[in-house]
Amino acid sequence: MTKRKTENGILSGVLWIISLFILIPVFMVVINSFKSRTEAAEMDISLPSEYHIVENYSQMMQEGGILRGLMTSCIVTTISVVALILICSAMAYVFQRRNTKMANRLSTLMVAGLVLPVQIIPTYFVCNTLHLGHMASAILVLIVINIPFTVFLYTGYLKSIPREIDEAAWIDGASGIQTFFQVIFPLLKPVSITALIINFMAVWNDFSVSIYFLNSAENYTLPLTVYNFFGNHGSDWQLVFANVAFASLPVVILYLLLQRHIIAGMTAGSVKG
Amino acid sequence: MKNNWGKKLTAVTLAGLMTLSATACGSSAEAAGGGAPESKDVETLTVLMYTDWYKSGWEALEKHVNDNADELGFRLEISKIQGGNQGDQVVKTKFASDDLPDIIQVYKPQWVETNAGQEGLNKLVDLSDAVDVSEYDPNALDGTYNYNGKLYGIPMDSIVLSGVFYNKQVFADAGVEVPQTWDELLSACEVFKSKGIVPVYYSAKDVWSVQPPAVTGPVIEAKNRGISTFELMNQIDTHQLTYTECTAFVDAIQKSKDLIDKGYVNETYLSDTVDMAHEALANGECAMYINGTWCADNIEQKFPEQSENIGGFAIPQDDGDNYINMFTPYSLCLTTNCKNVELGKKAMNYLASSEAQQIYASAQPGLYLNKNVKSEMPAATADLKTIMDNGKSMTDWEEINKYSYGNLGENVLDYYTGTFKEASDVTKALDEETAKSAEAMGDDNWK
Amino acid sequence: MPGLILFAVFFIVPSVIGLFISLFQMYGFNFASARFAGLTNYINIMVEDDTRKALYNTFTFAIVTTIFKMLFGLLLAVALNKKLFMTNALRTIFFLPAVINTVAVGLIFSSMMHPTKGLINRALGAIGLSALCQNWLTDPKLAIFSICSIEVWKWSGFTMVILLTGMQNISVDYYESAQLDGASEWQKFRYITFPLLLPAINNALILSIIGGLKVFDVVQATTQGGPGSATEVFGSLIYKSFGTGRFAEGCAASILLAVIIGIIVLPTYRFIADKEVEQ
Repeated sequence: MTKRKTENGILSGVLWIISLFILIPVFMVVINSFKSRTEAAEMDISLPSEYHIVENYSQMMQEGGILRGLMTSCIVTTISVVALILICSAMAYVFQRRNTKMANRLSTLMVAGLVLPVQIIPTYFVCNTLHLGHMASAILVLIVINIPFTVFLYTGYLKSIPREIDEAAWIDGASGIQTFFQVIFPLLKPVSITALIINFMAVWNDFSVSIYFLNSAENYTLPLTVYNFFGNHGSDWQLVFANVAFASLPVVILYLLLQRHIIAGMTAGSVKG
Repeated sequence: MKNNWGKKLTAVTLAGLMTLSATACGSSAEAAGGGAPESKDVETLTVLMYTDWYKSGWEALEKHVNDNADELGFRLEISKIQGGNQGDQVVKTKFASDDLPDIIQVYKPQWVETNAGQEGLNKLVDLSDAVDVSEYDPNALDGTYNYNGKLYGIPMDSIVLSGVFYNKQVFADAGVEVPQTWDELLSACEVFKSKGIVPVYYSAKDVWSVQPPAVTGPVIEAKNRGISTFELMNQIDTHQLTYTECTAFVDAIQKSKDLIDKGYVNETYLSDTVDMAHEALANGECAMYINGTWCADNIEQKFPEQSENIGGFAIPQDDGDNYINMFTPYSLCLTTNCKNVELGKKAMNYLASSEAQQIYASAQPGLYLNKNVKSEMPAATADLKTIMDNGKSMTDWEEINKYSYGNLGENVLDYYTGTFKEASDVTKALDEETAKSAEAMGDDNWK
Repeated sequence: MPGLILFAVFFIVPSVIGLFISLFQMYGFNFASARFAGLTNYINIMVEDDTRKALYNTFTFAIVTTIFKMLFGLLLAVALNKKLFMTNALRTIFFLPAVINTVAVGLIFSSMMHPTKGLINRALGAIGLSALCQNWLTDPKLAIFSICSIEVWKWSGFTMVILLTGMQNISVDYYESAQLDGASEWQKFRYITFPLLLPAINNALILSIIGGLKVFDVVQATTQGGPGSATEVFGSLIYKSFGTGRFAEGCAASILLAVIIGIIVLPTYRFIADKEVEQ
């Protein structure tokens, strides 16, 4: 046991050293967002001679419609992610469990969806023809472009859930929908949380769709606001960094809240037992 | 297990809602704090532009309009999108799908025609009967704002002149005079190099900034041919002339590389940015920087105490007959999507007036087209303006082309880094791109 | 199913429109000027010089990043599947780069990789290794590899999370019985973890290959395909076709890319899927 402990000790030491490769660049963003304008322009990792935390962040918040951006981002992301989890888990379940030709073809189509680049401009025309509002279009498109990946993720995980579980539910007289939501969906928890985080990240950080659909003053998303600090203040790096740190924060918080549920450790992980 | 999962989801949703309500409070407070209460006959006009065009000038003008909305009868709501290729793409899509704001700021009406066709141009309202242009020199409006006999837009922002910006102190310390010919420039560079000062700063990390040294070429070509850049581009648009046949253009590209080969340019120029160039010039780490008057504006903003110390001159030619490029201000256009056209026209008339332009100019000093606008300008801009006033300037050719020629900056960098062997490979690449675009349009001149 | 309808309207319909447009010749969105062109757009792309360079860069990028993302992802996943001192903190740290948006990542690394002012070269100089200093993003030969390393930095932790999720499904019974048989750590990995993790590895691998071949944003955020066209990839080529107004050519290029990805990804996926074992 002691040998094991030393081994683990060395291992975590090594990992902490490796983690510096991650931490230093991140530290650079944070520390530069605390500096004065001249010091931030140097872009190094030295500590600031004077901290300008409140000043920089409040200036960043006042300019560039940050609060509106935060609100838009929250609405778009929450709706898209919840919809994605519900739609995709059900789709994956159907594809994986039904062995019909149709289901197989559809699941191949999903893989094709992973491969095909999104034709954003034709999509724009479709939304425009359907007279969808900008916000609704953005949400729908963001959902759709993330469907293939999410279905893919669920399908992979469903393979590891034995069919006997469904069958047991059937025997108890549950309907298809009941089986799914009452029996299967709870078992999908780890992958659902993974999907939640990954899709949250993808939607939150999206530029390519948002720039087309969410480009008016009242519906800018938070990450897009970084451009307000580029053009307008070419050299105000402290504000750029403050903006980057602020825009990344919600995703980090979400990950911190949920991470122990994704990887609850090997002992709790087995669904087979 | 299921319960737990449900709880988590609720928690996340709740957290989301809390942030939402917090921001909602924030924004309503903001709205309440902002200026005069809206009265019934004040309508809001939506405006769209690129982020990099919204500077202190627009900021001041927007504030003025919205503070006086009651008297003016309109307010402005400005949306900004990122610039560059992607922003252009968004604007083109908006033209094609008829999803335009009331007012849009574009490079030029020609740009709309090139990218959205006659159909796109038809979505801009003719302002000839609505806007009083007596404060403008008709020659300055013709060909750009006044296009095909219609007034498609009004100038917004300042004129940009491009040339060489130099640090007067550095020149004086080295005992160097402002060079008039290319040879004089080279010997000046040699002096600076021997003193350990970077003679000319390049900032190729921002790809567009390698263009200014090269773009004088076609202007000199036009001068040599005794025509204007409009006529020169007309010949290129109709395939009577190619970029490669413009020997002065090839020569300018060649010379810009010579400076690198002779060691007159900062060694890390490929990683250096425009921002760094401003700093180097202001601090005297470099002697010269070739760019547009944006450079002078930026230095005035960031290093106000150095602004007087920066001067400007035209890129010297072999024969000393030197010209500068003039970039006309962007166009502000009224679109057919504006519900209340009369109000839109009234607003445009106001925005073109010396009153509105003066507010813009006071916040953002520079050179303005409106004759009644008085604005202080940085010393370097004033130097270049003198050259323009002497008739030694021509409208820049880059935005009056009919067909896209690709990315000049990128081709020039291919030449600097050895992918292209000859300066003429750069212009050949432009010609190939032009041919492709013309063919895509179905232009018979390229058959 | 609502999912399918959404998918059809917002994905399949636009794709078909895109395919249709790619067979025409037109400029901008000037639909009036459109003329049927058959495969002209496709031929135009294939004969272009830039395309060859872009293909080379795209494949280099996809191969290099896939190898390292998988390698680091797997190593991290195995290491962090143990109970260590502050495991959760470490997992969070390694996942952190995936959370930061690409524009910011480009910003960070452009400044860190500056030849004289950047952190990397200054650090190398400080420890006496200035011989290793490089023009990371501006040396035409090296730049694509520097971009690869940025991608690996950003996404290794993400691969780790996918693999860790997969590891949760491996029954602890296997390890217990292996323990009784006196199996070494390596044997446990080789005969239990690896085979049972294949579905997750397959997923991560496929995603990595697709991501690598579709790469665009990280290139755009760091070098924009430069210096010149040294780091041009297929994704940035498509972006430029659209940018120059040759819309149909852009559509054709993106369909071509999809075909290339399909040809590579589908057999790979099948190949590994065949080797998967049911638990």
